[in-house]
Amino acid sequence: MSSIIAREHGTDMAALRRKLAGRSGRHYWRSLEELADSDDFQRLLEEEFPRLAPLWEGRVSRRGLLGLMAASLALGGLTGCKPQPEERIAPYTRRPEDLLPGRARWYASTLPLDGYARGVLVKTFQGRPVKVEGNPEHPASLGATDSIAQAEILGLYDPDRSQTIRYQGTAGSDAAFLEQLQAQRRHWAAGERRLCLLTGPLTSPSQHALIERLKRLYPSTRWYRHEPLANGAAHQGTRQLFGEPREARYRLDRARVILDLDADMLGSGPAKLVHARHAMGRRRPDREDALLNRLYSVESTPSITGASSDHRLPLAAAEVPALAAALAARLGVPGMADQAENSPVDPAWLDALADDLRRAGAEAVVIPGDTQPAALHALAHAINHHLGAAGTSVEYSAPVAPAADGDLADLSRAMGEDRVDALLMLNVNPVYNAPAGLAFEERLARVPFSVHCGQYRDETGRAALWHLPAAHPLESWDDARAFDGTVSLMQPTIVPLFGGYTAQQVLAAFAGRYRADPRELVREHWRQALPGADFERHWHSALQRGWIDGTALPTSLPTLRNTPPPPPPTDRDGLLLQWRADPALHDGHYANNGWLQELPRPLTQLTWDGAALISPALAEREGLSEGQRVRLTLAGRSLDTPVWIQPGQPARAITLFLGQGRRDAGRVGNGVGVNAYRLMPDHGAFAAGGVTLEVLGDRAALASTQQHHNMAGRDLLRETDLAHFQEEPGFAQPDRVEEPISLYPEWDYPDHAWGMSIDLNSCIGCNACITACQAENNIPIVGPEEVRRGREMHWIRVDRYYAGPLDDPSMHFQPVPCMHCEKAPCEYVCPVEATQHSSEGLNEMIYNRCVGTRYCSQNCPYKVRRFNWYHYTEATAELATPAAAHNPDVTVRSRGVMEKCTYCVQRINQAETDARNEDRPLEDGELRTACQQVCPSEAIEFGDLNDRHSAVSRAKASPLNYAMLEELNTRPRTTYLAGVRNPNPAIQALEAREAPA
Amino acid sequence: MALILAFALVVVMVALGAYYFQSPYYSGVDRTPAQPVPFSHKHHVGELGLDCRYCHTSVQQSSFAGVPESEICMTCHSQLWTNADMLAPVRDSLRDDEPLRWRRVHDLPDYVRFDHSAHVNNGVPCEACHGRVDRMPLTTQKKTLFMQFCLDCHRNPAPRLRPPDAVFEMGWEARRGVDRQQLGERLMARYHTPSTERLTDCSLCHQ
Repeated sequence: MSSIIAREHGTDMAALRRKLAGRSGRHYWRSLEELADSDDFQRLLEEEFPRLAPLWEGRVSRRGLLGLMAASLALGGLTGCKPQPEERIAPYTRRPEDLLPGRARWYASTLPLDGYARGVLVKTFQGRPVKVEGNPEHPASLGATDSIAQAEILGLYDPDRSQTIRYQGTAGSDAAFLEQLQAQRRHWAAGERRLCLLTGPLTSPSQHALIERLKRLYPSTRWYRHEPLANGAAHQGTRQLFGEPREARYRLDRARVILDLDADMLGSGPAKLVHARHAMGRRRPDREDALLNRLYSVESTPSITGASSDHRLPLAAAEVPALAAALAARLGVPGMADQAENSPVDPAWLDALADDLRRAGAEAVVIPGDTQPAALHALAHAINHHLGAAGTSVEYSAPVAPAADGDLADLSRAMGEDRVDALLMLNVNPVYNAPAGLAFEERLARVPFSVHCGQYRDETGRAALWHLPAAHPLESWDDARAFDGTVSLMQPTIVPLFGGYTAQQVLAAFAGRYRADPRELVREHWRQALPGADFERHWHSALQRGWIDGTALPTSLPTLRNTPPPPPPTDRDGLLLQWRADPALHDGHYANNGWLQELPRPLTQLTWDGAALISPALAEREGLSEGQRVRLTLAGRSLDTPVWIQPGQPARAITLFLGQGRRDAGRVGNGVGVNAYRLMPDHGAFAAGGVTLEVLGDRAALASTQQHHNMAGRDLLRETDLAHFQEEPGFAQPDRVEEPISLYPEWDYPDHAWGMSIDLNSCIGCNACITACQAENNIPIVGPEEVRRGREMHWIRVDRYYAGPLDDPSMHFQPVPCMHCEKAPCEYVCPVEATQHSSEGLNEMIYNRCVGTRYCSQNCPYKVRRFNWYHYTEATAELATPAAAHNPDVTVRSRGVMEKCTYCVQRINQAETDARNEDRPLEDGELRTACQQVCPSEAIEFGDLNDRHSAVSRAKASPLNYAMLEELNTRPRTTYLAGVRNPNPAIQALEAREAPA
Repeated sequence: MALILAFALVVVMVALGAYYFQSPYYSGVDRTPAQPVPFSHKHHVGELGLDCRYCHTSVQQSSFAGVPESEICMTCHSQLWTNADMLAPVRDSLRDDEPLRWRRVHDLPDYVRFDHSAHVNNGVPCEACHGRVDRMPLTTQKKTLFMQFCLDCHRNPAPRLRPPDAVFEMGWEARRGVDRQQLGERLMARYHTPSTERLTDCSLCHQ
């Protein structure tokens, strides 16, 4: 929609700035259009059916339309009239032990991301995995998961996954492959030819042991590791400082002042879930025993971490090391004294930050980002050491991932020199994600025997001589280490659907063990690695729990051997290009996953096709508006991409997201967005200067989900700072009426009264709840066209708000599911009683009564109802979710039916039934909604309001509790805890001085 | 005249419609689908006195009562009637690990959630929905299983509730002179049966 307006008129930034400057007090805005509030935007809002306008694309004649209507009336009206079709029941011949048909079973397993383990529990129905939840006992999960883990279910059933061995593109057999492999092995063993391995960033001890075995068998073997999203700077930086590479582990539960240096510690990295739990867990300003922390972010691209921070500073990536050096100088880190004057930001701001860090001492922590150079890591850890934080709020262990012989650049060089005779590429896709400068694809053609093993026959699978299908993590026996080194076991929840191989099987075959049992390969490793006689018992308890006790890597206090090196010199003008992982597609591996493609990215709220982020200042200078296509040229290579104006983006920085622009991802992911890896100058360089920007003539229609409505000055989001809260604790309830009156009758809730409370202090805007809800409730994928028309189906949305100046606004999130109003406006307007009030306070939706008038949606002030405009779930729909991925407890909705959040009524019913079957009351906390269960920061409470001691009742008793649009007297069951930030008073004073009077 | 004809037509249409939707053709009442093995509940329950739960093993723990695995049939039939032709499909099934494919007799629409465990653990007898299976040589649907049928009981469960030990019994009657409604209400208190409002919530069964 934004593009509809901007097509005709560019965005007038100067006017927006004037408008913002003229405002006093707290003002929130959601999009540039809303802020501009131009006549075009008003016209768009006032149009009665803005979402219908772009529909009349096809040419349908009047006769044709009448014919279709008559036919659909005749056929549609009669489908309910025939008896049910006959069904068959096929019981087991022998029932597996402990399996009860109709009841879910849970298995502890592991889903790796970037090689690091996240412990999960997988819900299966008669051998069919349908849902992933976090493993509460696992150190890297603590019960939470992220969107990517949630979406693995859809990935498992993806029909585009590789289903057969291929030789030069045509179907091959494993016998033929093994025959060729046998011949190759003789050459390797004789030392005539060299085998090279390329893996992802693996931490798996059993895979590593097999690689070691290969190196012993064929001594010339080299193992290379390809990390598309990291550059090894963390280990290099700690080596510079401590003399040996160390892995930092941040203990945010112990930290009072946290400085995030372009790390996005809540949104990326293997410990993000733990960080979110610990950092946000202390943000309970309404509790007596609160140990509030303060979070500072310096970031080159607006992220959820910056948005959740108390202070956020936009700074181009290349200038972050200079800031760290200037900070180190202020804190008195040895060897840094001459850097004090070199601050790229307001020195007063930095002074205030330094004071705050110094005061916190051992309870302060500085976190450097993985896309930053080694110098920043050295600086950050020197500061941590100097503050005394090392050993308290940051701990150090040996690196979790074992060291390889080289990275992708080294391999590419060896290939170019014809030193690679055979190459095994295991679960990597370098043809897609290698920087163009490495010429990987051309060099791969020179390798006589190349084998790719992956879940998809992707770009690399097509370029390699042999392609082997890989098993999905939910089909595999495997192991991986978590961020703290804890060994987590992966067990299959289903037999490989397409006959894929595990990494261990492939490595074992290369070592001469053909067709080995994948379970035995993992067990054998642990039988040797685990001490003690009683292996079987140990193994079983580890499998049941999901991880092996006592395998976390020990921490130690490293001694400082060197002073940190000075930051690399940078110029402070000119455009800077930055690369970041796509928050949903990650490195591009998940590009064929419709749930992730359609997941609104935090802050931009863009789905499907991505865009380069530019700052409002740059947009102003170049006269750009959202969706405008530009050509970015760097070192002779160029890329055409639309732009997105991102408030809070550093003025001269342009951010490209990695993971899009796949050529051979599959039917969902092909050709969505552009491949930003191609423009990377060098492997592992995530920022580069010297880029030129050229405005092209055309525009792209981007699919953002938060441009469709106007707040019209309503007070939807409430937040303040700590000082104001202490002064006026009831600020969130300015005109609360104790006993509001209503024309509608009161309800009586004899059994339970379900309610929800969402804490805006804890919500980090990661959007995991959206994907969890989608997986739990069989929510369809609609595609980019439909999202552009405002027809996304997500039952919970996470609204993003800006406040303050265009170039550096503060950012806030607000998840909005159905409010389950006591006096629900939707209930009174349904002509067929398809939406009803339940005896437990739920606003129910009865799909088979709904005739699709959409009056309820029209009358809903929160706009949380979703309508099935098309048959998104039909097997022939373009983006249909495979039936096997559906939750069998939730009805799959058809075309013409309204739907919305049900408070996970299937979970309520199941929990109530279980409790009653066991003749006991339902305990508080036993029943959790999907969005609550997935939430890394525990922002959502759900429970019984009839129970005065339930967690949700206690939350609602907080002075921060408020209802959205309370003045409408809808009496929502879902309420919010207003946000309270904890800013540094010294910096607040600075900002107040700078702000125009 | 035309008006009268049109009116008559409407009346006829409505009557036909009502007749159709109440007809056994539509509801399936008295339908006895042919099964791969002509299993007789009359023989196994009525004559031999097997408990329902011997074969329908998950009825107390799961929404699905469970159709017996071939293995369960063979616990007895590996000793009895070992060569009966009638039982050949069962023996073949176990030998070839190929499930028997029974025709579903009691079929609720897919948008309905029905949980067996919630009923049998709370005093609703099998007989209430399945009829006197102990008298059925071949399994037959005896109730319409329409929403009206469910609601009759959900609106007033008392007359149909039984004590726990009588849930799986066929043809159980309360002792003479006991007021059925009063007994039912005492049982409701004992089972903590939810309120009528809760029992008639749409989302209890349509989720």
